Amino acid sequence: MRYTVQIAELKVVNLPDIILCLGLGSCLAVCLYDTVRKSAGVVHALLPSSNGMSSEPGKFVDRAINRLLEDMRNSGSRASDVVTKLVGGANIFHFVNSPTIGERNIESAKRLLTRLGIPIVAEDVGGNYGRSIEFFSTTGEVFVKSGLRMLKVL
Amino acid sequence: MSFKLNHDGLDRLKELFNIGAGNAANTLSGMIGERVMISVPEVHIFKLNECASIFGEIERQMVGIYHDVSGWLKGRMLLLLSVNSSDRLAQLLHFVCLKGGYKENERNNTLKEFSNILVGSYLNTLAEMGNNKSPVIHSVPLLAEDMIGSLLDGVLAKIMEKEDSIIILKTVLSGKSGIFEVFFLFLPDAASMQVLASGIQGS
Repeated sequence: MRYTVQIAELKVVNLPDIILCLGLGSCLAVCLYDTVRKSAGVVHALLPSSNGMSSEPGKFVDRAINRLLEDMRNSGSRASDVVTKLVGGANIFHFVNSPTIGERNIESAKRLLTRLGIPIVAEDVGGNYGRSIEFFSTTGEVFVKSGLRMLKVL
Repeated sequence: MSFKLNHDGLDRLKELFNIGAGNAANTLSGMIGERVMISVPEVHIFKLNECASIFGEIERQMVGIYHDVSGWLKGRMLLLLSVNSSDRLAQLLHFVCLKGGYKENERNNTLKEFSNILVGSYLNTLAEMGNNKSPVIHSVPLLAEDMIGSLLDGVLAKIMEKEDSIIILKTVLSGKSGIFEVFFLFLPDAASMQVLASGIQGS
């Protein structure tokens, strides 16, 4: 099966399913992969931190990662087997405020993942262009597509 | 969600948007010397995960032009055009020959100026109709060419920190025999929406 994860959604799949996130701009896709159980989880988050606000679980990077990790633990994963790949966090319209929403999303994810002790093994973040990803639970590979640019494999 | 709008309120807002967009269409018509059609305006209230679906394919390449709107009425304007529409409209506006030596910069500058004029015309109408004479200002245009999803999410991020759903007012301006199409979107801040609705009620 192929699942598409929309903004503010999150999803965990098992072998041999594939997860897609389409049209990432400033949004950040956090791809968690259990290298032992071969399960894959993705959040498609819009904003960096919830500041205690409750809303859709996938909207804020910090809450979304916690929730996704919880979902993966509930399905039998151990946190020590999980690695992360980050994609997105661009600044499409060249907004001038600094740091940009994209940068804040990346920063928020990195801070939390470091604290949780989950290694970030690859990333394709920042810049001024949109990205789409395909995340394969069979290998843990993330294919990153962006317009006319070369396909990248993380 | 901090706004509540009944059906009458929504209809009034749609009507306001219609008049404003009609004026913008008139302005455009004057610029290119041709008739410009305008679609029935739509008001959508979306949850976050539904937003991208407003244009069907999330990955479709489009040109987006963005303005911040501030003053007593706050929100964001977004104009979206297909790449073909962008080229044709720039040609109509500027008599630029885009064939052969493709001048993307020139096209983009033309479109930015076009957006500036159109959005100004639209907002002026809205400001006057809203029973409030204080000005509504729009920022300089920002332009990008990318997937629809990528163009939208940065804009959504600016609005949705405190909201879980969003109001999108949408209409389509199109040229004779579909030579170009401009998606004309206004994303008002929730608070401004209330001000606007009560302003109309009072008038």
